[in-house]
Amino acid sequence: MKKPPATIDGLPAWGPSFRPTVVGRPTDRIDGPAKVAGRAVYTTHVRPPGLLYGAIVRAKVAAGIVEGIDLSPATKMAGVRAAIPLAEPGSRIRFAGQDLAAVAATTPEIARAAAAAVEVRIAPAPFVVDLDAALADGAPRVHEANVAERRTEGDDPTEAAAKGTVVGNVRPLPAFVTGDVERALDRADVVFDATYETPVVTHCALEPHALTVAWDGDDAMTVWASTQSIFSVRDEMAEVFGLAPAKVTVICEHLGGGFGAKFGASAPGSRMGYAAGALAREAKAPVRLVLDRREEQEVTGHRPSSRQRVRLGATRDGSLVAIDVLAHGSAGIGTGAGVGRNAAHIYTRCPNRRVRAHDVFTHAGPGTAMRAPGHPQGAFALELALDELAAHLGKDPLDLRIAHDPHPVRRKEYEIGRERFSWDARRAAAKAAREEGARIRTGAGVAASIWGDFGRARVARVTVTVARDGSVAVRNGVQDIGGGIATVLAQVVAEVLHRDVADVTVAYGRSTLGRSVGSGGSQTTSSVAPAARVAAEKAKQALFEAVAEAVGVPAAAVAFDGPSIRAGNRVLSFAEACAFLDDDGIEVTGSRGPTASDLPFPFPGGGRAQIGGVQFAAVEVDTWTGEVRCTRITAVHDCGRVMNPKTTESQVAGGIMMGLGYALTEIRHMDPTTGRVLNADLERYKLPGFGELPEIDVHFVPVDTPANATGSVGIGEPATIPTAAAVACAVFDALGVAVRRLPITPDAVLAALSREEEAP
Amino acid sequence: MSDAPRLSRRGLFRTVGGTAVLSGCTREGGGLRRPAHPEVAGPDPTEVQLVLDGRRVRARVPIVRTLATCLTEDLGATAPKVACDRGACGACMVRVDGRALPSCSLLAVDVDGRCVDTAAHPEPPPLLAALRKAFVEHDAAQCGYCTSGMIVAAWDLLEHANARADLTEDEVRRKMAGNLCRCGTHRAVVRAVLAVARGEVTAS
Repeated sequence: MKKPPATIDGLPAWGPSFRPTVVGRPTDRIDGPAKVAGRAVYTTHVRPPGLLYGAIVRAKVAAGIVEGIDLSPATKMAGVRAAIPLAEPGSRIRFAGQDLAAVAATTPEIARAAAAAVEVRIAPAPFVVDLDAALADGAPRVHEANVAERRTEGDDPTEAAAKGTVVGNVRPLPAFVTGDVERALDRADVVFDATYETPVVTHCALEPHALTVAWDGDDAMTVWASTQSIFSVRDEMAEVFGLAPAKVTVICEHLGGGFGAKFGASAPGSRMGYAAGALAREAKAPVRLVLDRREEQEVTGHRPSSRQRVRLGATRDGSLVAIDVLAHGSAGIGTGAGVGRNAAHIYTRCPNRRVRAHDVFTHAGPGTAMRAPGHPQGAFALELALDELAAHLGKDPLDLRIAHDPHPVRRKEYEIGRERFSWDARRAAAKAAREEGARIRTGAGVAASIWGDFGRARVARVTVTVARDGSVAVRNGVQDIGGGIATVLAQVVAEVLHRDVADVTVAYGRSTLGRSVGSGGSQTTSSVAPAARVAAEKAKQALFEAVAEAVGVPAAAVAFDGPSIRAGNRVLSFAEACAFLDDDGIEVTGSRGPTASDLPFPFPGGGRAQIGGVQFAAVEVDTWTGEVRCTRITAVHDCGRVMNPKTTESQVAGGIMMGLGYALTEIRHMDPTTGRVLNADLERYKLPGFGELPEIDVHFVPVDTPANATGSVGIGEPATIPTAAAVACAVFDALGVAVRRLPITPDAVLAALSREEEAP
Repeated sequence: MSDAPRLSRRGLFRTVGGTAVLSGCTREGGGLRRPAHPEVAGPDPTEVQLVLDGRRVRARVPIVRTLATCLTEDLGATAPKVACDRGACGACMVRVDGRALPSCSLLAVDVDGRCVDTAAHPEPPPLLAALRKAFVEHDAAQCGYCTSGMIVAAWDLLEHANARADLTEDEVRRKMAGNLCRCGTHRAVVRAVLAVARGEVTAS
């Protein structure tokens, strides 16, 4: 570990002695009033004059060769203004839902009818949508050659690119190996060996993927996009249409969710950026493309499935000597079925660890990054395996974790959670109900989170202005996904300039407002907030210099005194001070430098910092019906300095809800006979709702991280990593038998219980 | 019942002036009436007239057009959001004659002559105003896409509750169950709705 630096980006660190007055206070989000009054305008509601409505023609078969596409039945329809092919004779179909053509019309109803009228001939071919079928000898091959990875800002930034060769439908990912797992397993007193499965789940942002393109002449366009990364949309549209990036203006004023599926101009399985742009060019009018829910479920990405064989070796007294995970998972035609870092990087007091993961291709739409790529899958398998081993050894699973996890913050979090959650009492109650054979059982489980990204250097350029009338504004082209970054921008500027949040005007959500990062990898706050501080500090300096000159004192004699400014022995209000500025006022831009420190804890063998987080789950299980209800989640997390406890807590509660869906309700079903998604809607694809809401207790452990000039770290992804794992562990505690497959539906519980009865 | 005038299609534009704003329509009688069209509608576009958020509006719509599409595309409404397009998520909820309904699953022509209120009502009745405040205070909107529908559902729930102040958390959860949220605002939504029910947050 390096010694923490005293200054970061030339500024004194916001260290332990820093006493903020705005940052760190629960603050209402600044876009709240517009959202609750239904005034916030999302991409789906943007209506430039002359707007046309687009629709995409999609393959209804999972594999085949396109023989012909006839657009003329569509183009003959009244109201159709453009039709373009997105595939050509000879094009290979690899999943149901693949792009074939696109149309634009004067109304959405005509556009849908025109899309349906396009005549497509496809020679069907055999396909596989099931993991086992794809692994079988002689299975139809999804890809004929090696596959390029589609990487986005939502991907795990520490994940290395795969170099392995595709064999059949299998593509190996880089393995993590430390020590000698096979040898350790051979010598272990106890070897636990079990296989765990997780389903494909989908992002289900309520705002669908949406894009409106309006050309401005031949060499410029405005793009309204529902996107997690305004600048990746800008750069992709510029590249696709051969435009200078500065000639592409991208706007995302409000974003209706993303969760990893909204990077770039196109959806992961659909070239909608090209389609909208090409239709708009042909029709000479703006075109809006909004995907429907079937398209969302089939083509816009998903969290890949996994099947993980976990082998754990231990000594009789409960020391872990080996962790071995062999995973196969499918991201459909796409890549990225890894299982994250829980197995490799948390229980590092276990000396021998190995994680091998493989992509298995199937004829389904491509997976993509989904809130903590790989991690919820890996957490479920490894954490439940640990609990099964602990039961075998007669150890408390919380003690087993603490004994093997050296992370100082996470160890503290385990102890805080133990108290807040009444771990010991809940475990004892569960044991009593289990031994008594009660119908309704209770259970308690715990699981760990790991994430490590402290933001990107020199990407976000934040501009602060101070006008002569004393008004303060901050601008940056970042999109606010709902995490509340716009509010954090106001807070940071208000902190530095001794203003109230309400005194700072924030402009965001537009590419003309200064380069910014994508909202992925939990790196928005740590990339943008420090840049805002740098800009605000420059503004403060410029203001102090103007005051010093006007009052006739050295600049060093000017300082804030509460909301006022003291210059020598004069005390000025902020407005009086700003009156000394010239007509142009102050306009300064800031960006942040590289992560200044690896504190609090680096990855073993790596330079990247990591943050912790643990979640405890309590469940009730009805052993007659198999129904599982999560009654309480206690979440203890760290994310450096919590900039806005109100929005941060919301984000954690939201991660927990998403984790509950993964644990209990969500699964995308593929039909093996048609190759299509069976539940491509929101009534048969079961999102967690008010019925699943448990008591949620969120607690933050403040960590002083001199990683950047604000000490802030993201929390979006870590908040959802351990939830499903903790619930699964709690169900195991309740039943005494593990349900090794998500989601833990009533039938899965009953099946596990009947297996237990059959067991000798 | 409120002081909103009884509306019929024929009487609508006699009782509501072009600039008059009604503060939230309430349900007349026992629910939806059949549309008052004397003639068969279609196949050509037909005119519908509504009182949208207290303002008299009209649009020519294809007969297959949903109320949601009519509101957002013809009338520029920003509150209703179409997320599932089949009445399963509640994001498009509006109040039709004082009853919360999914606007994606109604045809515009079937709502002709009725009062449609959205979360964006410019002169919100006290319950709606209080809900907006409570949703902000409890941070019940993250991305905000479900929020308009959530607020309409909560407005409906509170207005029709027998003993509003005695609403339990369980009742709120049960009655809001038709509204989905992917950001996971559920806990905050329950708190916000209960805060209004108990008078802890009010319009003023």
